[in-house]
This record gives sequence, C-alpha cells and structure tokens, in this order.
Amino acid sequence: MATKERLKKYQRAKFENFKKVNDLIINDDEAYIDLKVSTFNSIKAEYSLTKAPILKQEFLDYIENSASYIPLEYPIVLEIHSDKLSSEEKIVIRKLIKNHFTLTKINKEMEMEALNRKSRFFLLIGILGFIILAIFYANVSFSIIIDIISFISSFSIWEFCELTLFEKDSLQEEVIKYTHLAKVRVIFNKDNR
Amino acid sequence: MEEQNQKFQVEVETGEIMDAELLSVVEIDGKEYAVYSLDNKNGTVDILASYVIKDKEGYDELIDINNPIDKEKISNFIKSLVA
Repeated sequence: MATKERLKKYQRAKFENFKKVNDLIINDDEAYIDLKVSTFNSIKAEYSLTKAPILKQEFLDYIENSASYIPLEYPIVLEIHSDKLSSEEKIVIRKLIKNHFTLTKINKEMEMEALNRKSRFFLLIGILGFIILAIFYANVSFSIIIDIISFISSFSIWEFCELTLFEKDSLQEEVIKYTHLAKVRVIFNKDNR
Repeated sequence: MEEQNQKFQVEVETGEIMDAELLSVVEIDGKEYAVYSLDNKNGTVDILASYVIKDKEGYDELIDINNPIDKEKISNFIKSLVA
C-alpha cells in the first residue's frame, strides 16, 4: 500500500533530478515558481473560445514540471511576471490554473477508485476460483473445468498483484502530486523580468 | 548529453581538502545557499550547505552558516528531500 513514507521514497528518488535544478526559491516556507507571461493570448489555447478560454498545455506542463522538484512540505506559489495583464485576465488565469489541477486531481482519484474496484474484483475471483478448485480437484471427470478454473484463478491473482504492486503506487503518487498542485497560490508581479 | 555537476574542493574542519559536488543553489527568504555533497570515499556522502556570498571581485564564495535560524531553514529543506 502506498503510505506517506513510501511516497517520500519516490520523492527521495527524485533527489537525483534535484541535482539538475537550480534557482529554487523559498520564501516564508513557500516554494516559488516564476513565470514570465507577455499577454493572456500567449498562454491561451488558439482554438479555445474567448468566453471559455483554455490554457495551453505547454504552459501547464511547464508548471507541472517545475513543481515536480518541489518537496511536498512546501506549498507552491506561482508568481507570474507580466505588466500587460488586466485585472479580469488575472482572475481568469488564476481560476483556470487552479481548476485544471483540481480537476486532474479528481480524475486521478476516480482512476484510483476504479483501480481499487478492479483489484478487489480480481482478488475475489481468484480466491473463489481456488476454493472451487480445492473442492473439485480430486474428481478427475471435472479435469477440463479444473484447468479452466485454474487458469482464471491464476490470471485473476496475477492481475490483482499487478494492479496492487505496480499500478496503484504510481497512481497514488500522481494523486499526491496533483493534490499539491491543486493548492497552488497564484500571484502577479508587474516587474518585467 | 547529461549535465555534469560543478565539482570543487573544500577544506573541512580537520583541515583536510575534500572533493565536493555542487547539488544546487537555493534561495530561502532572500539568502542564497549552496547545497553540496562531500564524498567520504567509503560509500557514503555528506550533504552540506553554505551561504553563497559575492566577494569583492564578484565571484561566488561559500561562507559557513552561523545563524541557527538559517541553519534550521536549510536543514529542513535538505531533510525534506532526503529524509
């Protein structure tokens, strides 16, 4: 099961990547990600409507990549440097960024629930299959059925192990990552860096 | 091509000169710190931190951290990554 200690282990593994990161800025126990934005249109997806804007994926990816090196203990502050954004645009940008990461977090949590349901299903099928095998094992006339049930049970237990041991931990790590990002605080700075 | 971390030499408390590898530079509450590792040559490394101050000629110089509050801040930062 992915406990907080095991998740910290994944973060520790990223320490190797930390070596390549410079200019990490921490103020008042908050980690800052600095971004320069020229205009709102420079970060808005070209095909999105004016009244329902969507941010460019590369902009969101940049935030996500920058945040991946920040330890979970530090809340993230996204400082956007721009002297050309209107008050309305700032409100929209703040809302779009937080919505994106909050929705991604919710999606990952739903994926986690689906994964848990699948793994419980496979475990149940596997256990039931082996119980049935134990009951019919001595009876040779059921040999074909025994082979089929044996295959299904083994497959189910294997699927349960794969989901629990391999997929669940990486999905849990993503939930933690997007939970961290969903709490991002967005501030604006008019200095033109 | 993988970037190589900056390597340099430091004199430790015993007077011994050791090879250090710069891991990162981090700014915490307006002060710049260098985080670097010292190879103990026995399979372990020590992680250390120093202030980064510009000398008269504009080059970066590593200065010992004497302020206990600053020590705690950088220590917490390093622990959050490796603890």
